[in-house]
Order: sequence, then C-alpha cells, then structure tokens
Amino acid sequence: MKKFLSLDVLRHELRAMGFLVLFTPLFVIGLYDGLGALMSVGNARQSVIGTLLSAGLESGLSLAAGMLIAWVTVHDTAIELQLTIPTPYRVTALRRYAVIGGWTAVVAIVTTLLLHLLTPWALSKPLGIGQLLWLAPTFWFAGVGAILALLLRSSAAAGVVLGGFWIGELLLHGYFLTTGWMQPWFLFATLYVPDASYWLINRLTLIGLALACFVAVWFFLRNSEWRLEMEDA
Amino acid sequence: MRQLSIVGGALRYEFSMQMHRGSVWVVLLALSVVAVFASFYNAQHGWDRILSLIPKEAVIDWTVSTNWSLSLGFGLLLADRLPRNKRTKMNELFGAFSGSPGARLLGKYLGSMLGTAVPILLCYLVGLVYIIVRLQSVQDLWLALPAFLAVTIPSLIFVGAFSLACPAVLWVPLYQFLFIGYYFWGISFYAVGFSGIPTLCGTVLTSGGVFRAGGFFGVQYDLFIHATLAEAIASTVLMFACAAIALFALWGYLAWQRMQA
Repeated sequence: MKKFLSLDVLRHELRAMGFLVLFTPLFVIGLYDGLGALMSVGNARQSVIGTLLSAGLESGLSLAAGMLIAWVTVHDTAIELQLTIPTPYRVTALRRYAVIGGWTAVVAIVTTLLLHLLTPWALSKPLGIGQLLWLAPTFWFAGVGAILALLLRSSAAAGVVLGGFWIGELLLHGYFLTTGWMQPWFLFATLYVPDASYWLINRLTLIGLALACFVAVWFFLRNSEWRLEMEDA
Repeated sequence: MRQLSIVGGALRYEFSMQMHRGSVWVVLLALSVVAVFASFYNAQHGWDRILSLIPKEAVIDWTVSTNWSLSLGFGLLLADRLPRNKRTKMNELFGAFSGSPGARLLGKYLGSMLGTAVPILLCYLVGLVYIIVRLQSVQDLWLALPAFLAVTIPSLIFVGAFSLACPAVLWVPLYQFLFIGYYFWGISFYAVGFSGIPTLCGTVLTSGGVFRAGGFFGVQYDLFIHATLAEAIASTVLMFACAAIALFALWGYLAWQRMQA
C-alpha cells in the first residue's frame, strides 16, 4: 500500500498519462463557472445560475472523469513493456485511476467549498452530505467508462456510450423520475429532485454500481494479454 | 490525376479501417435503438405511434431521428482518426512521400466519413422497411433519398469536419467532452427543458436537421421552430461552409506543423 501510493510512483504515472488529465477537470469547472459568472453579469435569474453551477459538479465533472478513465484504460504507449515488469498491470491501472480520481476529488471539494462560501444558494444540500452531488455520478461514469473501454476495446466507442447515457438521462429525466424502479439509477437526481426521499439511496446505488464495474475491471485485467488487443493500442 | 489517385488511395484505406472496427458497428447499432425509440414509440400510442402519421411524416420523422441519434456516435468515433496518424508515427512516413498532404487529408476525411456512415445508412434502410411494413404503403417512400441527402448528409459533413479538425489541437478526451456538450447545448437543449442560457439550439446553426426537415419537406418538428425554405437553405449552406472552414483551417495547421518540423 505504501508503494502503491508512493509520491514518486504517482508522479511517474502522472507523467505517463500526461498532465492534461490534471487540466481537464479544472477546464470543465472553469467552463461552467465562467458561464455562470457571465450570466450573473447579464442579470440572468439566480435559479438558472445556481442550476448551472451545480450541474458543473454533477454532470460536467462526472462525464469528464468518465472520458479520462476510458482514455487511460486503453492508451499506454509502453504497454508491451508494462506487461513484462513484476508489478501486475491491473495495479498500475488502479494507481492511474487513483491519480485521476484523487485530483477530480480535490477540484470538486474546493469548488463546493467556494460555492458554499460565495454562492450558497447554488447548493441544495449541506456541505458534508452534499459531496455526494459529484461523488456518486463521477464514480459511476469512471467505473462504467473503464469497463466499457475494455469491453469495446476503444476509448472512442466507450465515449459514445457514456455520452449516450449522459444525454439520454438528461432528455428522459421525466421518465426516470416518475418510474419507481428507475429512480435509483438516475444520474442527475440533485439537479432535478434534490429533496426526493430516495436521493440518498440513489447516490449509494450509483456508487455500488461503480464498485461492481471496478471489480469487473480488476478481473478483466488479470489476463494482461487482453489489454494488447485494444483497437487503440 | 495524380492528386485524385492519392485522394482515392487514402479514401479506400480509411474507409476499410472504419468498416473493420468492431466498435463502430456495436456502438452505432446501439444508438440505432435510441433512434428507433425516438421515432417509432411514444407514451401515448406505444409502438403504434407510426400509424398516427401519414407516410411523408413517417419518413421525415425517421430521417430526423436517425440524424439526431447517430450523429453523436459519428462525431465521437471520428475524433481519434487524426491523432492515430501521430500515435502510429505515420506522419513521418507520409512526410517522406511526394504526394500532396492536402489530397491525403481530403481522402482521409471522405474515407473515414463514408466508412462510419455505412452503419447509419443500414440503420436508415431497416427503418424504411419497418415503415413500409407498418403502414402497408410505399407512398412518399421516394422522399427517403432526398431527405437523407438534405437532412442527414449536411449534418454528417459538418460534424465529421470538426471531429477531424479539432483533435489536431485538442486532446481527444477533451474534444469528446466538448462535443457531447455541444450536442446537448446546440441540439437537445430545449428538449431537456432548460432555458435562460444562450444556446445554438433553435438557430440555423444547429446540426439537428429540424430546419431542413421543416423548410424542405414541410414537416415542422419542434413546437418552437417553424422553418421556412430560406432558413432550410441557410442551414444547409452554413453546414457546408462551416465544414469547409474547419477543413481549410486543419489543412493550414498541418502545413504549418510540417514547416516547423
């Protein structure tokens, strides 16, 4: 565990993935919050700006995390070399997920703190439990993105499916919210029904699904050679 | 003549590559299911929705649905085509060839687009067969070809050009995120029920196809758009013009990169 999270190793993984994995979450939050700031200058309704700021965390950051995870899952310029070293490839993959997840969490927590201080009306939940606003969908997109990238053997194809879920759930939100068995699966519950009785169950279900996906990824990568058969390799 | 043969060679190679990518077929066929639901099913009529439409409406509705659903996958699947040349070190090899890089770029664009459009065309044809079977009529079926050419093709050309050009300067996952964002903001925004945020949705710059469906074929789509013929023409011209600008900018950028190397 000590070696798994050693600073040198993490720094190495970051260099291998490219520093754009750090830039992307910042860019996404900047995009949403920048648009929110512009709208406040243009005297847009406070509720619309609040929805936008909250959406940056719940929908924007989570989709970006899924895209990043799908990308790093199938792209590694030194994959043949990786498979010859004593550290199993799945440990390396998990370490990379930890770097992306950890950085996304830092960006999200700092953003929620700033929103809490500067625009408290934008957040519909208290600071502590409110972290599930971004945590659950981000975890879900990351887990589903990783397993899809492996199964479809392509990060581009995984991106299409993630994008389809993202747009589909936003478009069909009415259907998800009014159909009992669909409610726990809805990704953007805080955006539409922050006070729903099933909100917490919804968040925990999404996290549970994500965990199941990461377990599947772990077992998939046990056979390292499969990783060589990626379309993007 | 030589330039044409370079375009043809690149086109054939890219076309073949896209056709042999299993994920292109899997993902576009999955999105076809979304198109089927969007066009043939609704809460009020269930699967009999199509019986409430006249043949012309059914054909145009199916065209718009396939365009709307499948252009998302089309754009995302083309995003990794240009970076692939760099990753596989093909750029250096191409640099040693005597042929024009512009011709190779055009061949790459056309070939990857045509290869990715094949599953879309197949999905479209299967939907037309369903329409014939359910409506027991071939009336207005001839509209399918002009509708595909006027509604779907301009969108694919527009989306394809930007998906080839933008990843030259943007990291692929970042471009994919922005493309999904554009797709939501520029095409589906009103349908989601958001308002108060400036959007391309409902303007002739949207690639959703509703302006061309309304203006050329008289099937008015959304409650908020009543497209005229002039708007349909403007939308078509803008799709082609934006695609040409994106490709020209890409050509210039790649030429500049070669000069720097």
